[in-house]
Amino acid sequence: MQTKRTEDYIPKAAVIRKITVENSQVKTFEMAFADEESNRSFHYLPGQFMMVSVPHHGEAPISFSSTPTRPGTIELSVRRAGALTAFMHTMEEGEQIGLRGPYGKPFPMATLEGRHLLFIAGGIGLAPLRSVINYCLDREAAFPRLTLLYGSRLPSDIAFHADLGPWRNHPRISCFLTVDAAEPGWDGAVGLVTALLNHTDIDPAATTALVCGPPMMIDATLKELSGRGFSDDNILTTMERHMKCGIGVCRHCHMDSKLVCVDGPVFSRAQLLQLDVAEVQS
Amino acid sequence: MAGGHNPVNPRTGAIRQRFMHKLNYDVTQYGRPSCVGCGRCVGICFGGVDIVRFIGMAGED
Ligand SMILES: Cc1cc2nc3c(=O)[nH]c(=O)nc-3n(C[C@H](O)[C@H](O)[C@H](O)COP(=O)(O)OP(=O)(O)OC[C@H]3O[C@@H](n4cnc5c(N)ncnc54)[C@H](O)[C@@H]3O)c2cc1C
Ligand code: SF4
Ligand code: FES
Repeated sequence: MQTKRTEDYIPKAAVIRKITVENSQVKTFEMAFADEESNRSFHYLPGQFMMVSVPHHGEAPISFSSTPTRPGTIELSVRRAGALTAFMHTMEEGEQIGLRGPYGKPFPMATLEGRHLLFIAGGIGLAPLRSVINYCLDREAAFPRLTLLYGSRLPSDIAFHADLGPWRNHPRISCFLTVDAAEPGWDGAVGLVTALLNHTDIDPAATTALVCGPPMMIDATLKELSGRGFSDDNILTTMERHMKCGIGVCRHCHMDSKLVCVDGPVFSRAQLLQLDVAEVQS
Repeated sequence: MAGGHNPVNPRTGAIRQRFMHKLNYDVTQYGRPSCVGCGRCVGICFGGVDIVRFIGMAGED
């Protein structure tokens, strides 16, 4: 029988160092553990998540939006969705918060080396992909070519401006943005994020797609990529479930025979098609 | 989830997960089922969910 160590389940105190307002719904929290030794011994990879908690306000899984190639602090980008996240949006720099983790299977960074990476993000889905993109940009030799397709509801919902600026001028990444509905002053694309695929030249055999976003977008995007000749092993996505333990004990995050907290949150389309998953239909 | 959608069909998905978890997934994960067939949950269940009858039916074929 598998045993779990209790220390994996105990939150550690972390201090919020800096808060960045990304849009009306999302804030990025830069934090570090209160105890220096915990910061030194902390290791994670893009795609993993932390269980974030505030006493009396709840606990929720939040993905890393920072890259481990820039150690010292971690960043979590949080959309206001319910009890915990609404409270987090009222917190200020210097306040303490509980963190445990890292949990979950990361994106398979080692096997992605050398491939053209196609990032497709909808809304807050750019948070975990931001971690991967900055990781790849910091490891120049391993990741020669990146493409980002990013869809937002409105131009004012576009987040991560501090990253999008440098990415737009970076020779190794091409960025394409679109919105569901234009606002005055927007002269960019309007429409589904999948329509941006027509603007890019992509060789499906040399490319792996990483897709993060709301359930509706994931199903449509995975189908579209498959139709364009991507093999199901080269389409990666992340699944979202409510979680309690985060360590494979409570089964709250069940997805057919898998548990999103330990078997995911990163899955390939090939894996998902073997399961009965509400969000992904063949 | 953040958008409030429920990925588990409340009529079929929940009961499927309960039975499969106790009788199948836990065998894979822990090497044994997590239901001994004692029937206590059958006596207490308002909805008449009967895992013991289910085990019997599954055993017939
Ligand atoms: C692996 C993973 C990574 C994630 N990464 C991020 C991230 O980087 N950034 C981010 O912003 N979010 C992320 N999320 C989503 C985040 O965990 C959820 O939005 C979480 O629910 C927020 O917690 P909360 O307490 O603020 O909201 P909650 O109070 O849990 O409410 C969130 C929503 O769930 C509904 N809800 C709550 N409880 C129930 C219930 N019992 N039954 C039905 N509906 C219910 C609420 O009505 C509301 O719509 C991630 C989720 C996962 C699984
Ligand atoms: S029959 Fe007994 S062991 Fe099986 S689920 Fe019901 S209460 Fe648990
Ligand atoms: S959250 Fe408890 S098993 Fe996944």
